[in-house]
Amino acid sequence: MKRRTAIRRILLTGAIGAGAVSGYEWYEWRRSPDFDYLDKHRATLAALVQTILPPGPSIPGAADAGVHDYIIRLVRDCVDIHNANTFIDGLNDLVHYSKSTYKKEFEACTPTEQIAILTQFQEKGRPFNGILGKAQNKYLGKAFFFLLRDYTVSGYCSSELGATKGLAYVAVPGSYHGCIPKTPGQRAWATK
Amino acid sequence: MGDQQQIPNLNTNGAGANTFDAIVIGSGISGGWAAKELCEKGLKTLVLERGRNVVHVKDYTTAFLAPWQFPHHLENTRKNKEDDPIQSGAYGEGSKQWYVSDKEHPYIQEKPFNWIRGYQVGGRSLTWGRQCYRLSDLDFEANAKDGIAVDWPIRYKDIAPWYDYVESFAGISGQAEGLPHLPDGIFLPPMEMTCVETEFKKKIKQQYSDRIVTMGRVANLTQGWKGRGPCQFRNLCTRGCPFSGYFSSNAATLPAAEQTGNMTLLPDAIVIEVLYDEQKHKATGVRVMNAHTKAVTDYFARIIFVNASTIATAALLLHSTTRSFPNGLGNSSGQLGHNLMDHFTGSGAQGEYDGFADEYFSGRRPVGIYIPRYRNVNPATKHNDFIRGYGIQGYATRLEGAEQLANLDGFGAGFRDKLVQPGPWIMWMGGWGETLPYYSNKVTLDGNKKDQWGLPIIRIDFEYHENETAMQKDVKESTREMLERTGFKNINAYSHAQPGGSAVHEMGTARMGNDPKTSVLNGFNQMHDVKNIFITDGSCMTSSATQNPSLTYMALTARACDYAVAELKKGNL
Repeated sequence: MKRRTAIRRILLTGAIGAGAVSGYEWYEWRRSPDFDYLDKHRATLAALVQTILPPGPSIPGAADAGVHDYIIRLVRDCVDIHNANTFIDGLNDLVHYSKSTYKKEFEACTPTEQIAILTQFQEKGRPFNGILGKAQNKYLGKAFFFLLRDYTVSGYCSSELGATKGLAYVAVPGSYHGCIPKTPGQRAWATK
Repeated sequence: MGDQQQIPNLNTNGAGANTFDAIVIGSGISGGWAAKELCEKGLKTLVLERGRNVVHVKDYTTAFLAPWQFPHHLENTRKNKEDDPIQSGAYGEGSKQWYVSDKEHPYIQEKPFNWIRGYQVGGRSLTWGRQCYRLSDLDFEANAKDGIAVDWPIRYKDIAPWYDYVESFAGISGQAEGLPHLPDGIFLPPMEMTCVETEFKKKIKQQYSDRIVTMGRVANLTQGWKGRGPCQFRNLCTRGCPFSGYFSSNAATLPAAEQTGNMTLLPDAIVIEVLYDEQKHKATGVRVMNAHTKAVTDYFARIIFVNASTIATAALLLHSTTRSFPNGLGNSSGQLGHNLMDHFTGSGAQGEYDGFADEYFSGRRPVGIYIPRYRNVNPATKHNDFIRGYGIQGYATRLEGAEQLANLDGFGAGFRDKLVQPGPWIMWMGGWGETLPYYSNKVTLDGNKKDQWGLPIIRIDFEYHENETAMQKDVKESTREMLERTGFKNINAYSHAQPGGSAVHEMGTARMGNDPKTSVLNGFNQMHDVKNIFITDGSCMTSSATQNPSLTYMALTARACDYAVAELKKGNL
């Protein structure tokens, strides 16, 4: 766990900066991400986003909304290199974890197994509490699970199905009412 | 606008065909007003814009797109950030087309300074924040009282009727409050507050005798106005509004100028120099380079309005050297390019509010609430650590979608169900503070480096000083205190120094003043040194005040046009 090692070093030396991470770790963060890995694991990503935001009786899931394709585009084009590496490495870890633990791809696992795998990645990716956790997020970035969840949520809320069927979207409101009763089952507005 | 039939052919005309009554350099907020006023007063007016033409509505190519219709759902790409390290901080996938390329338009930052620019017909009037507040005598008298820089050559009574005049045309929505230091204007109905904003307003009134909460005064039309609007509450203003729901040059002033038949609008026209007649002591015209062909053409006029925006206006005049003005046209005072100001931002507070769980709102309001300045307004509100003050902008809303991530744990169906509900109410507030005019904050021209048009690269040397730093600290403390006293919880107050320019309120590089020895412009925005040049963009500002400045540029422009045409008729120019 390189993240943990680096965080411990920050804790021990009390210094945050160039001295806190080795040249190797610096390289690890800046190296060219293997973006093609995302396309190769499109099905895994689809299953992952659908596990984070599953469909319900009246609500589409994240994969139904195409969020996995959005994430591939986002990581390839937008996300900074460090987070892109964290994300792709984390996906790689998860693919291997699924194979070694359940002897199958994540997308072939049962919902219960998928939840167990994601829970495992959530727990090991949790930042420390308090100020150290803030420093950890700031200097090392978020762990894979939390990046995945962030991207899934932002992709879902800005996707057509997510915005219109998961949340509420009005293209041209035409008027503004500042204080009105929430309607039963009111969904949040998709855009500000 | 931009009728090709009206555009003179480049390079083929003699002086006659290239001669107008007036030339306006720039088509942004102030240039648009100059165009309208001069054309309506019957002057044949050439409006020069260095960027491309933007036809109102037709060229707002992203205006009707939903988030999912953008490849990255409105996020900027890594390439955007690499190519445009400054502009990408201001633009998104929906508004990128209104910002310059940093690569193509370099400048030198002596210290970090965000020079946010839009080179196109309409300039930054397409993307401005649209909030409109009048200055008052608290502002116009401040320099004289404090012994700072030079006195403003005008007082509120001089500009008040012109505020009336421009508000009546532009259409500003807002609430009259009767405050002497933030004078009321001619307002369209104010927008509504959210439940929590109304509650906050009520509690602030109970808790404080020195401040009020009012609805933001904004150039968004809450009712149809002069064939424009009303605002559709989409809050997509920065893409250009196909409903003409807010004031821009493209929606309002340029069509009015066009309607007179007196305007010639020439896009892609970079003014490289103002031409000066040493015998007559007058400007005779401008030298223009086509942005694409680089062909150079001279245009002539009896009066010239320079509205290129604060930094570009200073640079143009610094570059227009003559025998009489070796340090820049109109720079006998040595003040040209100096006294650069911006409002400082970056401090404020956010908190959560328990309650109103069953209340919500509909529509997307394109402005928030405003707390007018409450420091150093009178002896009772004197602050010991700094002079001048700041205004607070803010809003209360419910957390929605990805904004809720920090408050939600886990994943799966339960997580999803919380995510799609309206989250807790939060209130955010931030300060926009007055920056003093410092001679050392300046725009100069680099001696060696040139851009692709052969013009010297602009150097910007700007930093905040103790007064701003002390005030910034107070913004943080007072916004935190207001949230505490009005019952908010989980309050997070912050203060992060922002580079100059971040408020996009550059001002002051050709200041107004009574004395030609210490200022560039007189009380009518007329150049002391060259009487037929008028400058009415932000560069004319003698102090920054706390208010968002564009409304003041509009009023000063209309006033200067009135004066210029009267002087022209009297034969004084």
